[in-house]
Amino acid sequence: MKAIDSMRSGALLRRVGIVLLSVLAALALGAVFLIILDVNPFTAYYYLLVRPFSSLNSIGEMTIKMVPILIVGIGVSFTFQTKLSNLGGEGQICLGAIGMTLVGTSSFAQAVGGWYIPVGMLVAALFGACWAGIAGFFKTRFKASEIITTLLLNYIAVQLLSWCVYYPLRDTAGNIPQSAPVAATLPRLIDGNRMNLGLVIALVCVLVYWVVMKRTKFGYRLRVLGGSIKAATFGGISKKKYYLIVMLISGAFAGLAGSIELAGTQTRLLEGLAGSYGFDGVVASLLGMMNPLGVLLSSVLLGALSIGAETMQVRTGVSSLFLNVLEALIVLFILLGFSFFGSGSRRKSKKEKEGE
Amino acid sequence: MKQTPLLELKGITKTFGDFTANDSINLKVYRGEVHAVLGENGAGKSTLMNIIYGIYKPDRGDILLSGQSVKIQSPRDALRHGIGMVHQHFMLVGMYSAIENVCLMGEDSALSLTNKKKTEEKLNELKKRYGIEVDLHSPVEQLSIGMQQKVEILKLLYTGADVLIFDEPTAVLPPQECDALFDVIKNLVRQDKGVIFISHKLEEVLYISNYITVLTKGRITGQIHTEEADKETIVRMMVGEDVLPPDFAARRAVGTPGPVVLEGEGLYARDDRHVYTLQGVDIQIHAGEIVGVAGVEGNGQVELAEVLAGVRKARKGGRVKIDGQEVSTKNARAFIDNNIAYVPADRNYVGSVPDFPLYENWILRNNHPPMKGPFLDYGEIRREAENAMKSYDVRARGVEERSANLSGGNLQKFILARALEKHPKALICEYPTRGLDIKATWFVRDRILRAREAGMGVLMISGDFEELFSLADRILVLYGGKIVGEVRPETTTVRKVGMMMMGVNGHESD
Repeated sequence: MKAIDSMRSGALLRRVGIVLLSVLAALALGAVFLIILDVNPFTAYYYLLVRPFSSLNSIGEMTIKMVPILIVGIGVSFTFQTKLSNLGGEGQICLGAIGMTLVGTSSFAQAVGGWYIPVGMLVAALFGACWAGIAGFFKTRFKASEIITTLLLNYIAVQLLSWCVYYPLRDTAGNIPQSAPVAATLPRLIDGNRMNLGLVIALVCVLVYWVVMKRTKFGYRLRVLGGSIKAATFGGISKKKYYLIVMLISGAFAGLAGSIELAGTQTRLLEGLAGSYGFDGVVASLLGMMNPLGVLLSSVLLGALSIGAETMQVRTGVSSLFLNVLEALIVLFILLGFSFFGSGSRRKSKKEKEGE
Repeated sequence: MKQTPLLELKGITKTFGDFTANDSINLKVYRGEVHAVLGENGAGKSTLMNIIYGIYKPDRGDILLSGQSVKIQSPRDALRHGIGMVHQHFMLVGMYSAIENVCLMGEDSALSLTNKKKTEEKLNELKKRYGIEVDLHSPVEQLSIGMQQKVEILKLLYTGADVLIFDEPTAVLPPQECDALFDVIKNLVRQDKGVIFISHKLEEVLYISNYITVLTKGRITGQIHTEEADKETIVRMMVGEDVLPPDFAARRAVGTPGPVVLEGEGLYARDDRHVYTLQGVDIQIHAGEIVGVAGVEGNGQVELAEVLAGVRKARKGGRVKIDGQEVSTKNARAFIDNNIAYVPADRNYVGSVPDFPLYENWILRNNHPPMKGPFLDYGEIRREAENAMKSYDVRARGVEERSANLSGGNLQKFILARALEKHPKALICEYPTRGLDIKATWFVRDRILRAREAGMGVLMISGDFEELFSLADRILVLYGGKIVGEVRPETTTVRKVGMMMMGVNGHESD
């Protein structure tokens, strides 16, 4: 949390510098592994980082991966602003997807076609919010660490989703454990490209986040709470209330991401739908330092990496799991970077004291 | 007239970037003399001492020991040259006894029993020579603060220090232990040691020192023999102008209190450790009066202020009324909406968010900041903050400045401006001038009196007798979470209030 603290303060240039250097350092260390595997790191990194942007088609694929990461990341950023964490993106995505399936396969959806989508998204957001709200409730009522509870709720949600596709929501037409397809998928933005409306929604989320945090009383209160709990009490800002609200918001975003993944990409509820989006969202938020533009850019990077990893595996034989190594290294270097060189680091604070 | 000085500083200059912390400082410390360095917070006292102690290197200037120029590179170097420093935060290992702590200083192994024996003998000798009474065998964390300080002194004497630097030694001590410290210091100089005594408290400097150097904004603004000095001369040296301290007490005589604006009945409250520190207090604050609250820290005064400000829950059915209307202490916003202003003790983390720019801190504790439609009207907020900063003389680079970068005085003025700008019914302030320089202190006191004159009810928690006696209309004394006495400053003495604060009833002692 200390590292997150220093992410919120200090000169922008310094912070951006730390993040960029961390990414470079992670790539450099990753290159060592690649060399050990006897793979030319430049070739591997070409497929990983450059190739995803080489055609409109692959950019479309990239956005499909990026959208859930971005939306979850925005939700996580809300919690980070108050210095809470939400590591339960995965579970909240599952719940959102279940909500979307319930609406999308209902007779109501059959009747109205594509118009079910906004209703489904609303329900999905509600489901996600409730799921995260459980953690929020335990946090405010019993002071249970939301890091633990959100994490544990993931396992329950994943099992819940499995149960849904095996029993109540199972498509009786087939033998595979999956639900029936939803009545309509998200409209595509360009013909022949898988890029869909989810991208627009994700960008709207970024905008909403930016406006709320910078311009509204509500966002101001969240930032006060993150800046100093005692100052929040002084200012009449109820810690419990806003902790709960921010968990609900965060869950709603993840739920929304789940509904987009379902209606835009998968079209049916099936196991493993949440993928690694939950944690990728956390990484995106950290990497982007909770800054709207930063989260957007990091989501693009993470989306591209996950597309690129598959290409890389096919072309060079390096397992796509290499991506996990790379992401872990990035997070590690960022945390180290902020601990040692961020504005809150010991070296710096001593210097600041000297001025007295 | 005298021998060569034990320690002499010649033209010491130290800058940090654009900021000059010490500007050509000259001073001489003789054997058998207490040399006081007096200055407000940020005057450069600590920087100067850190230079003598080898923590900082001066940009220019010389340090002479018994006439010999020396270069001091590190605290270890300083000790070798016979310079020792008693820090505000003691450099002791809590689990170890005084003897073991002293052994840690030496070159030899601290674990050897024979060394321990030798050390103990030497310490006993030192104790006798300087009249320092302290338990050498208990873990130092079990000793009182005053005792720990004595262990520090012994430690320095053991290493052979000739010059002892005391960095605001009384700041950490309860009043009764201060006298014991002064006795030790007197013994030290009687035995021909040189003492540098750093302080911002006039009275104690006049009491203990032989020679006074006044430091203001990194420069020496006065040097005087203590026997030739009085309070006024020194204040003039510190402030740098011919200004007399304003006569606050005279203004108090004006005006009569109005109706009760803020009232507490049967207030109980727990502190952050869930201990009941407030044990049933009834209090009424009238419009146009200042109610002072005195008490040794930790006797419930902060909790009292917090309950009345709406930021701490009253327990066991205690009630708070504003203008006669009961307001739930669970609802901090109701207090804000009812215009109860609050200036907390902790300016940096409670009164402001350190990372926020000033204009964002301007709307803290404000349920109705300027809005433009659904959005905060930052243009208006900035204007308000700027105007207030002008009229309260808050010196900062602008409203963009992070509040963490403000000095204590400027931040306090900012917080006070924010509190008073909304013309509150009542103002609750905790230790309003703690840690402020003289001018800022006067400024804040003046504004508190103006608040009283404007008909606000003021509750003022303070640890400063001068403040309580010159500002308050009446003083409540808290002890053990209860009000043990109410006095009027005109008809009582500091000593009586002090006794009450210690739980001794004023009548019994007479």
